[in-house]
Amino acid sequence: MYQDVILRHYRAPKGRGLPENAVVAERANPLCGDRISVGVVLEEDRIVDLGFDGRGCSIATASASMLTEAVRGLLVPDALALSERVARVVKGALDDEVQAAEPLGDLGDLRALAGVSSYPQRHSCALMAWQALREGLGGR
Amino acid sequence: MGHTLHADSAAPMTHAASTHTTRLAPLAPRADFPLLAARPALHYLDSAATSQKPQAVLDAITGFYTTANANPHRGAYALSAAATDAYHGARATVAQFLGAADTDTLVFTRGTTESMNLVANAWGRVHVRPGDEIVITALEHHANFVPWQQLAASNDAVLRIVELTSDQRIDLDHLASLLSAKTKIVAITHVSNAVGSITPVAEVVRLVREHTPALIVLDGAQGAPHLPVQFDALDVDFYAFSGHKLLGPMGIGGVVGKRARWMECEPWQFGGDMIEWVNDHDSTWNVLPHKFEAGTPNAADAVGLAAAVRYLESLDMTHVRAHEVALLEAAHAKLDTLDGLTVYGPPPAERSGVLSFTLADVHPHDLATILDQHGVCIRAGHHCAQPLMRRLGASATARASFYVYSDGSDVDALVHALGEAQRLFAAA
Repeated sequence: MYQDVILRHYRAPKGRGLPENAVVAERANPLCGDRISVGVVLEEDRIVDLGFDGRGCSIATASASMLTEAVRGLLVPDALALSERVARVVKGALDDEVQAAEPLGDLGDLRALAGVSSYPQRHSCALMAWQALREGLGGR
Repeated sequence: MGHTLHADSAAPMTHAASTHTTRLAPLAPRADFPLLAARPALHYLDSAATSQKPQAVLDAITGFYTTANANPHRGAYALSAAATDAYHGARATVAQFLGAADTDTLVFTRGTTESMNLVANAWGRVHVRPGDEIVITALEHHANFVPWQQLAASNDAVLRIVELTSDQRIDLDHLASLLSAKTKIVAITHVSNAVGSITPVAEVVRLVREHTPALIVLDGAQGAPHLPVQFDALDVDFYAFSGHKLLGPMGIGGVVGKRARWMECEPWQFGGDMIEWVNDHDSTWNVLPHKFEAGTPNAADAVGLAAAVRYLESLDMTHVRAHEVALLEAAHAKLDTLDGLTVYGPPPAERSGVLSFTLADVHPHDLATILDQHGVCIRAGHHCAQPLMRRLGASATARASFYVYSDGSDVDALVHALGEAQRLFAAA
């Protein structure tokens, strides 16, 4: 689970800080008190800027960091589709795909989140930022 | 804040210290605990959450169901009488363990949470008037916090919260300043579940009695398992505890009270067993303790709990306490070399067998996962003490807690795994 990719994003997160005029949504984990906010700036239907804020464990922070890299510049429907795909990766629902590795190739660093799938008590850490993103985009 | 432990030399931490073996035998043989015996590589350091169970407890529960199972207090037949005897025998054993001479002043509940709700409802709702004050502390577990917060809200009373010293002990001066004739209830933990601070009960009682005839309620969930308790000598009004934290089964615990205080209580749950006569439009109540035990009692687990306290008595509670202090001191001796470690709570002599800490740059949840990968079970989170966490300025801590079956190898495994966690997160 603690792969170099995760630790690299944890130590030096990308997209830290909420852009001005962003639509912000926050998710919290009452068990540990962690909070992650994600702020998005849309032009038309495209995410032109985004960032995250808050405090979290290595998994929550790394996942938020990867999120800001992965969805920057995406159209809203594509970002929502990606968030659903990440949720399946984290929950281990893409086991075959993960093992085959190649179909996940386009996920880049996000592939590392597959390592969380065997730790059910940590799924919510990995998905906090993605849930905040979905909320900010008005999808659930 | 807690005291920060750090290496005072520039030598690489952890490894030198972790190499020598901590020689400290368990107080109770691990062979007595089937789960631990079956998993020799497991280092169970979450006994403050729940303890493991000795075979004697499991045998007692099975014994009740295989030789005495019937509904207590109900049948006229011999088997029901055997069940009644087993249940009341358990009550006598547990009351004696807690130092209560009057057996029937021990009311069985599901545990500390239900005990606190019982006192808040059966005494609090009846006697707390608008403008009265309820005093609790910032150390409390939610089970000794929320019932009083809600009682204050429902009865228009004022909740006062005693703040803490810099090492998370109750600030007795602040406590004294909050006490007045308006104080109706003082509810305080005996031992903090989150950081282990031990309350100086005698001093607290003396302070309260100087100012007010208020009800004193002690949360003994972490007291009864780790310290000798003599209820009759404490001069508190109610003492609540849980069975599962002192080697007993889950789902059984209780509250001991002074008889005079029980007489001031109204029933809070209604039904079978707790009544004397039920007329069409009113009822009269059974005597103590039955008045507060509505419904079929958890007799089998009460019998299991009695076996647990007999087991603890055979170890001697003063030895239990000494064993935990020895483990804490051994842990501190090794952890002092771990850079970036902050341990919360007072020094070991004033703390139960709890090591609550943060390690710089490593989130407590990450610590718990990495330690789990090394077979070390610890708790990470707010420990059901969010008011305390706010005051620590931490969203969570990691907590290792010891008990009678813990030994030097548990300390060594903890220290080793913490070093591994630190190395993983520090690697460039």
